[in-house]
Amino acid sequence: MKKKIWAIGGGKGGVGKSYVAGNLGILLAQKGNNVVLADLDLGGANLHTWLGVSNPIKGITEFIERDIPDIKKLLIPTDMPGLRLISGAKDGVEIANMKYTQKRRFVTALSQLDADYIVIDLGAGTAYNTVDFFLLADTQIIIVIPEPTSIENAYRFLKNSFYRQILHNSEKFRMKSMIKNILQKDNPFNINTPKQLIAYLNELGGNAAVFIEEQQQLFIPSIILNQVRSEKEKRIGLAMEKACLKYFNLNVKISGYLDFDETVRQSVIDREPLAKNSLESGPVQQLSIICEKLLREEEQRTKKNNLLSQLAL
Amino acid sequence: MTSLANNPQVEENYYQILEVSKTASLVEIRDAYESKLEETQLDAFAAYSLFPEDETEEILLYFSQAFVTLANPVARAKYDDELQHGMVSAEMQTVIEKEHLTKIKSLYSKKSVKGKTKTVPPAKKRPEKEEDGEEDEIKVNFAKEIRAESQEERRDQYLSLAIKNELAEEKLEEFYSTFKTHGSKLSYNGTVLQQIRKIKSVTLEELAQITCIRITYLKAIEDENFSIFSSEIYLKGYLLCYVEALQLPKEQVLKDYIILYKNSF
Repeated sequence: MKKKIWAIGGGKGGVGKSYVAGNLGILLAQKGNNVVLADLDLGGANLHTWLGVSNPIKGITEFIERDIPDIKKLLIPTDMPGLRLISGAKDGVEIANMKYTQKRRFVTALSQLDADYIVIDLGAGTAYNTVDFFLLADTQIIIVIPEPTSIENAYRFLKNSFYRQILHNSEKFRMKSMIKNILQKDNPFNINTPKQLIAYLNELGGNAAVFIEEQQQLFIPSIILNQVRSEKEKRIGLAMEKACLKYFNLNVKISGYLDFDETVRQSVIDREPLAKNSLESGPVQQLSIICEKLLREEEQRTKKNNLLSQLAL
Repeated sequence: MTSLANNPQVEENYYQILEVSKTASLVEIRDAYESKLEETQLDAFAAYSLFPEDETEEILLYFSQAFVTLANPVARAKYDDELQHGMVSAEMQTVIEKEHLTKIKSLYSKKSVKGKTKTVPPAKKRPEKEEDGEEDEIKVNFAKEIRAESQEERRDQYLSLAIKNELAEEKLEEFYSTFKTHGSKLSYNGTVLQQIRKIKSVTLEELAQITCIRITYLKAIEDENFSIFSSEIYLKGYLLCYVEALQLPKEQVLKDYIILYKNSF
């Protein structure tokens, strides 16, 4: 099986990204997978504390600056079988200015690690740095809580991600300068949303239409709605799907819901990952269902891509 | 491509709009409206920072029009009749609906009702007490549960309201002109709404029966007691029914009133 990268992001801080990333990592490991958890919450990395491992000595910066040529040297074992950690705790915020090529090198190195899954905790923010890592992943997860600020952040994250994806991929279609122009603020085309951009490129037809169609297909983020307190709040998930389609013309799917739960907060305070000991607990079971769903969806995408590449041959 | 999300352009009939069956009871229709308000509220919340305000308003107008028509047995019978005879879109229905109501209003406000009954669809037998056309004879049903009401009773309520609306027209003109003579511009706030309701001698209880909205909410609208409403959408949704019952200019009232709501923060 080819190695899979999962990235967990979502704009706002405090919505449970590290909690989800950490527990997903543990759940995947418990299924017998070889998992590397990468804490890229640069400037605020704390998965090492949560997993109860000692402070990391080396960070990603050393790898980027080629002081440590081998990314394997960054791996920290945990007391959970099959789970290892790469921590960005030693790395300052300045690493956020990594060049795209450096990011690619880092992600390529990650994907060459001897592991089945790499789970990346991206931390807060919608900056290029975060978005780029997000887009390089095979499974892209956004964590949202039912609060206006978090929802707004999620949309900003989605919008930035889509624009960034388009920009990266436009090169091979020889459309980079054109896309760059369109994506500028106050562009003469008066395009302000992904939906307008899609409509514009569709109208141009030909190469542009083929390109944008492909980009819509390639855009695969899914949302996990966290800290849900009622049945009514659950429905925000589907309403967000609807809104993404309506205002962005993008297919963004809800992968599931996680109930608000005091034990979750306590597990974070106690530095005792829930999935590690209390498999029976509600939050873990909910996350486990989401994990299964993500695995199924990823498999479907892989199948589809394989089929497409076979057809291309 | 984007047709699935609350698109008011789709030609749907009122039953489809509220997602109820053609035989839906009043309670079902009210519950459907309530859940549409909730859905709109949720959509607006979930699309936070994307959802344009005028769009919400458009959607609310759309739902409330369906609701007030189906909740009114007279209008509903007429509407059903037209639907059956292959009528066009809901948009068109609204116009016809209004004309029809105006007709009924004028019919019942005059003493010479008897000869003209044929304009009223045969399915709805006119209540006996209307025959004498005496305003003070009109019985208002105060039943607490709308479930307990018969269709006849509801028809009564609507007809009595139609008459009250009709009879108060002159007095209302007077009321409006006092604003003009004072040189002040009329703005529909809670007090003005209450004054208009009283001019029409419609009680809050009657209004509650007609609109299927609890008195507490109707009173809160008049008192501008906004804290009772869980969101702007619910307030607007209820206000639209209030305004429809008293035959006031919807968009103007909504505009004036919501400014008050927004300034209350």
